[in-house]
Amino acid sequence: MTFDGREIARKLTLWYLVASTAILAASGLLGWVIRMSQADVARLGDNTWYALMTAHGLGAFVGWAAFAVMGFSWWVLASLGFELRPFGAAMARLTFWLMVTGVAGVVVTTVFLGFAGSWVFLYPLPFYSAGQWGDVTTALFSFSVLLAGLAIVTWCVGILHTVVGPALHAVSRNPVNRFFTSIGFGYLWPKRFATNPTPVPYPLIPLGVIGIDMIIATLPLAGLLVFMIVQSFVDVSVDPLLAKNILWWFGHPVVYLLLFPAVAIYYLLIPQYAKRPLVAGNVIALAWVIAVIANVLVWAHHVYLDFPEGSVQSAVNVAMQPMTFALTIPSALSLYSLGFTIYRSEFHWNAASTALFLGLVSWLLAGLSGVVNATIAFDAVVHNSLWIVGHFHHMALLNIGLVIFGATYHFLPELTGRPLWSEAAARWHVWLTFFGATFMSALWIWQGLEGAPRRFSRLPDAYDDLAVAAVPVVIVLALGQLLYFANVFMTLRGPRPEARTTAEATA
Amino acid sequence: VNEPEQQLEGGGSEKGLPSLWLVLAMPVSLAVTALALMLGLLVAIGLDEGS
Repeated sequence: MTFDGREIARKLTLWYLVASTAILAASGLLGWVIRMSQADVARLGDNTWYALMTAHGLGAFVGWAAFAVMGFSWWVLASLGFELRPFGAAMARLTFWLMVTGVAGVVVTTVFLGFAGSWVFLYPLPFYSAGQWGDVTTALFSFSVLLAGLAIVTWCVGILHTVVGPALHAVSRNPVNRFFTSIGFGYLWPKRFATNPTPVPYPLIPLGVIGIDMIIATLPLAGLLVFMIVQSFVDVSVDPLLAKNILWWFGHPVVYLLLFPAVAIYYLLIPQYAKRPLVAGNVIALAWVIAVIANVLVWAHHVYLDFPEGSVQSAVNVAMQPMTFALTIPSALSLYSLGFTIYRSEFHWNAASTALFLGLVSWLLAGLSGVVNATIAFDAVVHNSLWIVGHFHHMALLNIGLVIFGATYHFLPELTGRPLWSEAAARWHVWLTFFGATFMSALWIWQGLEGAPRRFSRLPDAYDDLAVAAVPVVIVLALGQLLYFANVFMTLRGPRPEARTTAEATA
Repeated sequence: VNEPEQQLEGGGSEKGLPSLWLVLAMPVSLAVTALALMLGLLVAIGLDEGS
């Protein structure tokens, strides 16, 4: 029996898509519930609210968004001719089961066992539960997150194994040289990282970059999680400031675990819809050289506040400002390149390409409310406010989310061999999501500017009005998602084209 | 390798004039969401004045 890497990639991408879509439904429902509680529509107990927020955050960010783009990456690579080989396929399967088990563990420990230490579980909070959950629950939660973290590592190993595979036309056989070739160094140093006969396809570059960066980012967090499991049973502790830095050493790059595979999807699909090559594609190679280094050196902009006076943290934080500003260069160059690939092209508009285009628009808009936070003086004002919640929902739901929706509408027919159930439903879903989530995020940003605190199950009375105002918008947004679930479900269970043809012929 | 492939049938490729459902998706979605926002703001203002 021969090994068919493309067929395995197709099946695995479908697995990831189905599982992540189910997680979106569950975590989206939790988000709806805690939002309704905050608006006093159906008030939850405080610990229940924080437990659901923990599950919602990890479920939506890692279990849906990251998991979905991780799955699409296998198909993007297969579409470029970089098919899975046996080791990569084993890593892809292992990733799937580790992630599913990890997310299930997070759901059990939060929803059923009451762990409510927030989705960033800032150490040592998980060990100060005020009697709401026990240390064994903390150990189980930490173990579940560890499984999801290991899923990220195995995914990275599988991606790196695939991007340096035989489809990479690197002249060198040295694996290190081949890796740097895969992340676009050949565009900058064509002699040292030579390719023959074809250059590196652009969608490969962000996948190689995130493949190496997430290993660097995740391993220290895995160590911290192992330590937390040990601390659940033994009287030991770790310096909280060190733990906080380790968390954000992972916590910032994990945003790119969502963004970079999404960018790979952009690089693959936007030129197809525009019917021309990526404009200035070779220039973006420069951006990715910056990205591969800067990604893992900006973590401390999440630690601008709340650190001991006189510690080295303040100096580290100051250094993070220019590094964070530098990260706008890869984003700006990618946006420029993708924007001008669309501009004055014969762009083919459908639900998938509309979602991708609106994802680009949202990338720009959400980037603006993000980059200002890099300035310490500004962050000091908005950091613990709903501004941040508005910013990251705008980025995750509209930049990343719309890429996932667009990729689903584009790839699902390829993956299933069946036509999309309804192009019209897909378009309604895309537009309702874009407007609904934009307004919803804008309300949070507005509340944040007024000083509304984040991570509060009950907002102070002064901020209640905009929480209530958001309710109808959230309902519209949620109803829009039902169109997506229906479309995915009906496409998956729909008749195969040949069956449909037979049925029509006999009718 | 970096040339665009012409494989767009996967994402839907309606020919001729798009149906009314397709045309209405954007403006009606905007209208519905804007109305929802206005309704929410009105309720919030009402609650504010009532308290």
